[in-house]
Amino acid sequence: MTTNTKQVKELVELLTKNNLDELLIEDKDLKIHLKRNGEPKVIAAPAPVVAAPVAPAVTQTQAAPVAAPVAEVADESKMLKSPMVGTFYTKPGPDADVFVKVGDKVKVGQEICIIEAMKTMNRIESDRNGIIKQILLEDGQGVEFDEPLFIIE
Amino acid sequence: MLDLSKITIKNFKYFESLGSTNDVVLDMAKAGAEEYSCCFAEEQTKGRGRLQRVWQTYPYKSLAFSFVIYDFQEVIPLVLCCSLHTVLKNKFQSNVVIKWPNDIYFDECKLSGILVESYPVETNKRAYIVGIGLNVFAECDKLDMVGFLEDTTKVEISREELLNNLFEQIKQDIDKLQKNGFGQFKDYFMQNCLYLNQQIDVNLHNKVESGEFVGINDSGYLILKQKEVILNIPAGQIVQKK
Repeated sequence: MTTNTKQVKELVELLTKNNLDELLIEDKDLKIHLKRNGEPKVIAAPAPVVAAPVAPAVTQTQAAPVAAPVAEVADESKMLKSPMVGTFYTKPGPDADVFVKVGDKVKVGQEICIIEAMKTMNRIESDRNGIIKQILLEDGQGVEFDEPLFIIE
Repeated sequence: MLDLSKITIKNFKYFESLGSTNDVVLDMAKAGAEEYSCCFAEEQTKGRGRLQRVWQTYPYKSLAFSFVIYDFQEVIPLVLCCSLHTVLKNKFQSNVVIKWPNDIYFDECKLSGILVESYPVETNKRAYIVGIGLNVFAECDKLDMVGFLEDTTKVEISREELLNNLFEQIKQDIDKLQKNGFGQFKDYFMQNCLYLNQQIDVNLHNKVESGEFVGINDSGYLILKQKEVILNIPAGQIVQKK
């Protein structure tokens, strides 16, 4: 498979037209991962349906602004992913220091973030030794199951 | 002091003072403690709530205890709140209410809070540490908006009886949840819930959503009805709209 700017633009249009949050295309030697920014912390349903159906994963609010999609080539082996849906915290409390910052060395078992799901504060530990290269979410941002949180090399 | 001869909880550790009962139970879980192993403290020097907010324990006048469970569902914090409410209302005739997601209130004052923290203890196994604080006997030197069970009931309170009852109710309810699902707890929660059908603000981490609190869904999320949309909110703090 070959790719060029035109093809990426077509994929971006596909994402936007269908109101998708994420699109992943994999081939032998290429992976394209498109993702829209946002705050997927709350699930929206059109009014006046009171008993809104429960979605297994959190979706974006209707009113949330649509940011420009970003194309990236991902190296999954370096990613630490979220084991659950929830809210991502980089520190244990508002006035506390962050667990880790970019450039920090981490060890297996070291706490590196919290994901809050239904008032359960889930401590997430590093599953490898390495250096934090990227923190992919902002403090307080919503996170989906299996969404990359950190790049650790 | 708590009369330990009256405590019916198995695997019960009692301390006069320690940092946090959740931390002690985590250590117990890492050492392979059985489910519902429990730690109680008269005083916590580092008692905490959600996002490390301070939880003040009034020595010899409160219940502050933690226990571990391994078989977890995300609605358990709400079920625990139903357990507390059931015991306080039925056994101690206290007219308390539930505040979403898992606090117990009386007359706009908080009597009890629950903090659940989870940690990996083995590969593919997490320990869920449940910490419960309940203010029992009145204390003059208290923080604002803090309530006490004693002020809400005319029944004589024994902390030992209260603790035993709470623990039994919690175990029964979690068992019931695992067998029959969340449905009956969802109904109970809404029947006893503060601000239901009222206009509220919900403080999220970095913004505030306003609307009518119309219920909770099958995952325990708060359902907030706005003009154009209905939001299902998994975490946040309710403030009544004045």
